[in-house]
Amino acid sequence: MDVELIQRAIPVLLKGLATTLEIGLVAIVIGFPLGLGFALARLSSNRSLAAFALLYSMVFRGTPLLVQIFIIYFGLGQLQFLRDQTTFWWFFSDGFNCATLAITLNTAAYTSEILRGGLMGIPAGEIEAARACGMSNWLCFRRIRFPLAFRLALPAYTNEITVIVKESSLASTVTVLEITGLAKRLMSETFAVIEVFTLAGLLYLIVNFAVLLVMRSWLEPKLSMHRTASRPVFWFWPHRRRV
Amino acid sequence: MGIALSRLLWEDGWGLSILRGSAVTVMVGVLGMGLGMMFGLLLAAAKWARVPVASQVVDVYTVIVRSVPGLLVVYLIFFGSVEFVARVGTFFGYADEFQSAYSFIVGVVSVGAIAAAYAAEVFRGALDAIHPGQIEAARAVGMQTRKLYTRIIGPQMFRYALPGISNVWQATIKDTSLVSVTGLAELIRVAYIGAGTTRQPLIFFVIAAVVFFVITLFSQAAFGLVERNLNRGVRAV
Amino acid sequence: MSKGKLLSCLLGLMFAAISTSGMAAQGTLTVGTEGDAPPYSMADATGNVTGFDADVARAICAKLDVTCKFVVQAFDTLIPALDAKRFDIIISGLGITEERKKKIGYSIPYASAPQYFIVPKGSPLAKLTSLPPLLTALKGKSIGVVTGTTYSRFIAKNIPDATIKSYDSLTQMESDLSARRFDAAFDDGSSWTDYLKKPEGANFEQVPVKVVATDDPSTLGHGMGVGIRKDNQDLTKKIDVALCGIIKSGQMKTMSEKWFNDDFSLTCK
Repeated sequence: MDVELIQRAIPVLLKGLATTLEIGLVAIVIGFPLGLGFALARLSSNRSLAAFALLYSMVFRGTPLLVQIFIIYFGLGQLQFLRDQTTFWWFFSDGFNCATLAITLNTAAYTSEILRGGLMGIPAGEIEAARACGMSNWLCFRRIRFPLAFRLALPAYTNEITVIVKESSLASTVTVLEITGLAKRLMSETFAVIEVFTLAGLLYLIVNFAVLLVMRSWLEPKLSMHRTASRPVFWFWPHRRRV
Repeated sequence: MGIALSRLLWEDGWGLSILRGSAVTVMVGVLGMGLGMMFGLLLAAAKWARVPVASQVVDVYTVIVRSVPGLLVVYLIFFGSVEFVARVGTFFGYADEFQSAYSFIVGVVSVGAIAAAYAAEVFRGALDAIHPGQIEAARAVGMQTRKLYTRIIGPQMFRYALPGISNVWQATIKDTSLVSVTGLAELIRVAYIGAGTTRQPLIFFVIAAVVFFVITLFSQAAFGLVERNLNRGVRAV
Repeated sequence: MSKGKLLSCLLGLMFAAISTSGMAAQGTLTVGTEGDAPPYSMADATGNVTGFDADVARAICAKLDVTCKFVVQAFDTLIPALDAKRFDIIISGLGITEERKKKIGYSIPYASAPQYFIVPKGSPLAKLTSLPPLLTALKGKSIGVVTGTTYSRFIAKNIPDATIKSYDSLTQMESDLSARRFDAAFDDGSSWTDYLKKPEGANFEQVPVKVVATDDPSTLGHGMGVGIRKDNQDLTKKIDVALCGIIKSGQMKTMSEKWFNDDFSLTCK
């Protein structure tokens, strides 16, 4: 284990960590509302809207993210008339923008499935009661359906967040210098393959652990406070749960 | 546009390359999935039977492989294990063939390793879902352990695990796209080379996406059929 | 088949395999190359490699009386893979640098091409004629290079404020260059003669500032050599002899002129 190598690698990889987190944040902030929109579209009574949402979900979940990134980065870059539009090209010439767009669209599809499951899992009685009270559609959604659906979907969405963090590594294939991209560059300079990639893997592990910790030990119990009065628990010691 | 497309596919020979690439992709997916399921079953059994040290090791393995990006797993196995594969190859006297099949082996192993971690979780959930009373009853009747596994635990576990396994398969066939970075001539790599040579990336990558989409639809139908078959006679709740 | 028979069959197979393993891999030389860098190394979908490097490899194999077998991989993965014994030698425009010498051994240098910057036609950078003003003019711009090459080290060292866009292969970099995804590209002059002839290179020109290895030998190195593992001294000597023969017979000059329209070969002492 070359200590000097590790000392040299860490600041470089931490710079990549910032980019990885950027990609993840954009994907969550834009992908979640987008996924919610598609979920509602799937469940709406408008047939064409539901069909469009279904098609979107099938296309983006049925094809690999790598192909989606390549289509947006290489494919769109090929079309000359798009290259001539200044604002369009200013956005799409950068690998970061293309990769983040692809990841966002991809996660919106998976999120729509997760939230659809959540929305469908609400007991029918609650919705009936809301309507009986005279709540409008929007009020019912804001006060009853969305909070309940979110709580039901949270474990699955936590999973999806860890997937987003992992998928950000694919951005390295289109010149984005996040953790994996910098790790490859470091490897080609120092030739220390195992050390550099192990360090990179460790960084991803830490980020995902942090995400899981926040979600499982804080957010989930916080949303279920009416059911459990116990203290927060670590997700990997289930036998300590007192419910 | 249709004429240009057909010229590209037939005369320039890309159609054949794409077909060959798709075949390689499916092979890597199937072999990787097979490896993953076998290994995952072992891991799940160790965890379910609460074998003392093995359970913790299984936990560590699944947590690490599920938290680290697939791309890193592929890179690590690609660079980290050349010596091992070379030695195995020379031992069996097929050094040449092993070297040329190296990317393929690395692809299958990395895809299998990732699939095993997810499959282990699915199988563990399925094993937990079997009512312990059934196992107790079987032992009370004096059933031998081998019969217990093949008559009671096995069939039920597969039935409960099937939806999860179909999810793992969907993820696995898409993970094969990561193997393209090792240079293996699978579908994405062929599309990449074609895109570079003919300077027409859009058409090649869209074709690749369509092929994956078709494979996904096919798999969904196939799994649905198997599920219906396995659930014959089970009372709908 | 009974258990005993099965066991003896397996043992017999293993024995046969071990005894024949000595016959494997004699008479072939596995060459690692990148396959994605015209005109040095081009590989099509079936794995057939052409280009200057492929010709050099085949000439060496002919001299050593072995058959050449090519393994195509991304450039920055060639040295780790050589180390891990995935192939015997690397012939892929591999520059000889001190840093790389720490990891692998080299043959004698066989060619050396100057490096140039490529910019879009009409760019003010194209009017510069010497290196120092060019380096200052490139501050803050985005420059495309191939990962792991001596050229990427040169840019990283001499123009630290430039945004470096690293690509896994030359063709990918050229494709993004045509798409104007960055301001300038830096690579071998021989790669550019090939690129500027193509239709996508029509709107680009070479900055007339010749960058040679002596401008910065710590990053640019001392010419191209064949990469060989350090412990393989026997093979190194054989390849040195073969290369010398190829250079002295004028074959290297012919091959260089065929692919680069210029003689980039070096002399053999």
